Amino acid sequence: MSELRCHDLTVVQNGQTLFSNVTLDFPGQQVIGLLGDRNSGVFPLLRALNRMLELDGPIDVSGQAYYQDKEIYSRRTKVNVIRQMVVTIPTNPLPLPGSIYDHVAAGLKIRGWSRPVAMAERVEAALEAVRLWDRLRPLLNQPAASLSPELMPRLALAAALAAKPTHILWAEPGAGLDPIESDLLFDAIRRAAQEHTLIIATSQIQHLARLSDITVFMQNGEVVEVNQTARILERPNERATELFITEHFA
Amino acid sequence: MPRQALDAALRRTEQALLTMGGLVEKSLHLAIQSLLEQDLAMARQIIDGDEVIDQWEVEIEKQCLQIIAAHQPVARDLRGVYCIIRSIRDLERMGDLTSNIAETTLQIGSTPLIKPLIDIPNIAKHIEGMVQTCLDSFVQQDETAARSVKEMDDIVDDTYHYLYDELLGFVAEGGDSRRATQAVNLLFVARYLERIADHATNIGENVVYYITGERLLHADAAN
Repeated sequence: MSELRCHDLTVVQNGQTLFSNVTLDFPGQQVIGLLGDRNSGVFPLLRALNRMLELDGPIDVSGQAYYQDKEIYSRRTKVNVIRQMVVTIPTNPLPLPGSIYDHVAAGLKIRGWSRPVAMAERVEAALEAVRLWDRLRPLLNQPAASLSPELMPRLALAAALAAKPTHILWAEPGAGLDPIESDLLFDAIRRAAQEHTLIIATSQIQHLARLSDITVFMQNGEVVEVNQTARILERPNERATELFITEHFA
Repeated sequence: MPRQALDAALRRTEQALLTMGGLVEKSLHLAIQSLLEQDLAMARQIIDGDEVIDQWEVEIEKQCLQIIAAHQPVARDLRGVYCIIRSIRDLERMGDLTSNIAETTLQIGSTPLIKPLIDIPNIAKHIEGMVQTCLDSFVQQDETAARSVKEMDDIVDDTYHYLYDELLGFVAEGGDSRRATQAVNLLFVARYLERIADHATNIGENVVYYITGERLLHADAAN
């Protein structure tokens, strides 16, 4: 059974059902793509997996979501513990105050790390994993804000990887990047999936074609199809999936 | 709208495929007619005309690559483009084979035929029907018709084996080398026809894949 899963999960916010009866497993060491438009439920579902959704306002939850067999929405569950292991990277990550090094090490510090050598090793490994170490090594003490915005998504991924979460949640990774930086980011995401589970929400099948192993297609808050991405690209099982990915909008 | 542009590009390429298919069908018809009537001028026209079929292959392949580069098609659109790329290769080979039939006609020349040709024109007409069925099934998205092409090929195979035995009989008889040579030439024609039918079968399988996503070629490995 997957470390992260949900069973018959329904979430209502402000009287609106964001998604309903979602039963999904998120198997490890893969990129899982949640595909759908703005009203499909994929974006709130992503935020629901580590309870970020409730930061947008109160929610009513029915059904269950589990992380390592702990009910994510149980009152006994510590939200911060979940969010440390199931981390969110913002669509457009911003630099944190402080240096580039501080930015990458921020997650470690939140987790109480204080040993400089061990922390430096983690930061180096994380930057190496996103292929930024050689480039940023001489700039580690520079303000993170001095970096080009194009590099921020890879820096954010490095910061997430440094803290070694089990799951990384990311809506529209690489939005607005140029093709070269987008390629570098997608490569880094694929590499990260060798040790982590990445869950990506997007409305673009072309992104999932390059990124994800499994695609979950949702429409109107419900799961329509779960399938290997390669299969969805060639021969989806459901007509609704085919109509969406071939842009046959009503 | 991107979808409209993709639709327009797909329709244009599908139309080009039908034109190429029509040319191959006509070439096959005339190749057999030139053999029956020993019309050497017509045979030469068919050989020259093969270049036009080749040009269509190049043109359609370019259009498909353009669609892939510009639209990154998926699902049915992807299968459609893939079906066209595969099918134009089959059509091009069919064009080559009709050209080979015309070359054989030139080799036979004006020498009287060793027997009345009945099975060869019959089977050629049957193969024209196969090509027509392929193209119709593509246009009408008719899975049943596309699948039927494989069954139509069984008749061609049976006839080819019958012709093979019959024509080999002329060779085995020995004696008249002119008869033996022509028998071998006609054996080649039968073989070319059998190969043309195989390519038509491939196209039928391509169309089934386009419509359903099911791979009939090496089906056990693919599905």
